[in-house]
Amino acid sequence: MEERDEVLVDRFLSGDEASFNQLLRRWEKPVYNLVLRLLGDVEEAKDVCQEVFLKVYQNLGRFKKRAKFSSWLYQIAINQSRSHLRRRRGKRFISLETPEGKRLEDGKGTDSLLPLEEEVQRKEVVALLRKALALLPEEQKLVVLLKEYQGLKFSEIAEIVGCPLSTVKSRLYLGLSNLAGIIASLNGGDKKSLLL
Amino acid sequence: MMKDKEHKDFQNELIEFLYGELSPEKEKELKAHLEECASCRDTLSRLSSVRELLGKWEDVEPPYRLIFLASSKESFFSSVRSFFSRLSPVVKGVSVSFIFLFAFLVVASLVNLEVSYEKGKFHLSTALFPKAKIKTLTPADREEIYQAIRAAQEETLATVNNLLLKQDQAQREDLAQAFDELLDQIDERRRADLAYFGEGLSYLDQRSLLNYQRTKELMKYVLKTSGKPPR
Repeated sequence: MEERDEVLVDRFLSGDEASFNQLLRRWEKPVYNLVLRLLGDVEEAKDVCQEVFLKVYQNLGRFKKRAKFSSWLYQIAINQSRSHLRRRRGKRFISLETPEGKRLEDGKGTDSLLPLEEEVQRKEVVALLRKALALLPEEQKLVVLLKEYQGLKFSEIAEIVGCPLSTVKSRLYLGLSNLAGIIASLNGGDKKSLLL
Repeated sequence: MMKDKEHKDFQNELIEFLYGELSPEKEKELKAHLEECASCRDTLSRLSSVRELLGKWEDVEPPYRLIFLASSKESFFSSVRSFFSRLSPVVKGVSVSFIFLFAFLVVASLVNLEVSYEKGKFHLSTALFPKAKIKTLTPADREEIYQAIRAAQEETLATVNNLLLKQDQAQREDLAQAFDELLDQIDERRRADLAYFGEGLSYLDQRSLLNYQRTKELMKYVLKTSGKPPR
């Protein structure tokens, strides 16, 4: 049976430094995928993830056990992504019309075992979602990502984002509705058919 | 109850239903409403489609592996921090108080803090910059200072005289040595000249002797040939 995050944190604080690697293995993938979807760039996601875990390592002593470790970790990941976006603002320009280049890839290589047609379609869907999410207001995008991809409960999202439960739900509703509209307009204005 | 609500009020229920977090009673009510309301059915279908589409962006494995390497040599500050993080709050408080007390004592000693309590009077003073003591000079002090100055002057004068004398002596010695060397050289030259002159004289002497002998022989021959005996 896997040990709880909080147990591993306790062990790390009492000197067992290997416990941190266990936490790292457990949370590396979810954090990376969240940051990747927030930033939309593989290299930047990689850098920010390193910063996140370094920050976690440095501040683990200050982690209050009133909150869940995962919520605290997601808060750090979101804050680091935000500050990275602030630093990036004005320094980089992403054209929505640019065909999918190396920097915009979703992380999966071309050596995927999927048939070519499916692979192309999957990449197109990812590109479309990336563009659509980039156009969503940040607070809605964050709630959509935390709910849809991190599979968190509404109460956990409320704790991470720091807003009431009802606000989380209304942001999610607005986020999904707006996404539907954005995707439809990116697909040529057909609001009925969202799927490719 | 739900019939009285506006469509807007169903937003939260629809979202909860969409993610399976709606309570069974509310779910029952919502389903009943959906059967009657085409607009809400449409919204639900639209949101479900978005969710379906979002689901196609799968998680990926990070293209790297982060590994935390435990440092073999822990830095001083991190070891202090980890030591303190393991202490109980009471011990932490006591330790911090001691540190502050120690720091206060260090600062107090640096600023020469003086604290005294005498006959109900509390006295506190610091002497970070103590006042310079000004002493008034008496005639005796002045005389002493003048004597010291005079002694120093005399000593300096004696030293300078000494140095000048030594330098003069050295110059004299150098000069005398130079004269001696010059006289030696002149003497040597004179001797060489006399020797050369002597050689010249002896040569002349030899030549004169030869000439005399030759003349004498010539005279003998002349006399012999003239028949008269030499005188």
